[in-house]
Amino acid sequence: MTVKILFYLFAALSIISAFFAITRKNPVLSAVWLVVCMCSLAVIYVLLDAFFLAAVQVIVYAGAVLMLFVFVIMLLNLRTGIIGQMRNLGIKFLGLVITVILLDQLRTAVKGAGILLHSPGKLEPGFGEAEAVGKLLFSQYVYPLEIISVLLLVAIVGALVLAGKERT
Amino acid sequence: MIGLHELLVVSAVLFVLGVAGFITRRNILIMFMSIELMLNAANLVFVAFARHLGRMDAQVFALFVMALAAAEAAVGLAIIVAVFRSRQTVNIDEMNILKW
Repeated sequence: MTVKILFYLFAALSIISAFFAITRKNPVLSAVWLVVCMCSLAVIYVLLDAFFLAAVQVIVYAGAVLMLFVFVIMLLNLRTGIIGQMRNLGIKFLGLVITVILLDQLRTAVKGAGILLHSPGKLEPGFGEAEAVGKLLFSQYVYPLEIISVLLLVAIVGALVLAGKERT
Repeated sequence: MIGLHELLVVSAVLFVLGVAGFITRRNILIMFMSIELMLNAANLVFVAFARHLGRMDAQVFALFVMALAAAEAAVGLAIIVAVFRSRQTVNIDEMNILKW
């Protein structure tokens, strides 16, 4: 029961903060609201027995990615004139229409999901903890792990090439 | 235990909010944050199904998605910085030519 109450609380918080994140004019405020959203999602992960993933969510998303966003906003030194303009009304209306259509599509998809699923009441001990996830990561999914590490290396090199010292 | 349905609804709403932000805003930084939001919505589905199937494979995939998002953020923000250096703007409507 406590789990359900906590879930509804943090699900509502994540949706509200996501809404604020996309509607604020100032990108710094957007980033802060997005941090709130990520942290409430981390709480939902804990409620879903994904403890390791919740920790990674806080460290990587709320810690690293959003910090990077705030850092770049600071670096760009935006003046009030160039932030916060919304698109014109036509595109906004079009966006609204597309959003409603997508929501309707997703509603039908959600309705049919999980019918054949019978969830196990009890989980094996250690589910979602670092040891179990790590074992899976380094045995069955070792090739994707290596590929993702190469991807991160490429991202580092790419970021350096793009934003590094200005070449003459 | 939290029902699968509620989780999927929350994820769908988050995803749609991400799409809405991506379409309606023209500040490239906020568009980027919308992409992060969409990736998070997908991650929530992964974790929800991991719990409801009793298997951790989906959690591993969620981990990969997080690594992907980190790489994407690094490269994307580098591009934003590079564009801002030459154009002095973050408004995508003013970034309408490939070469200048």
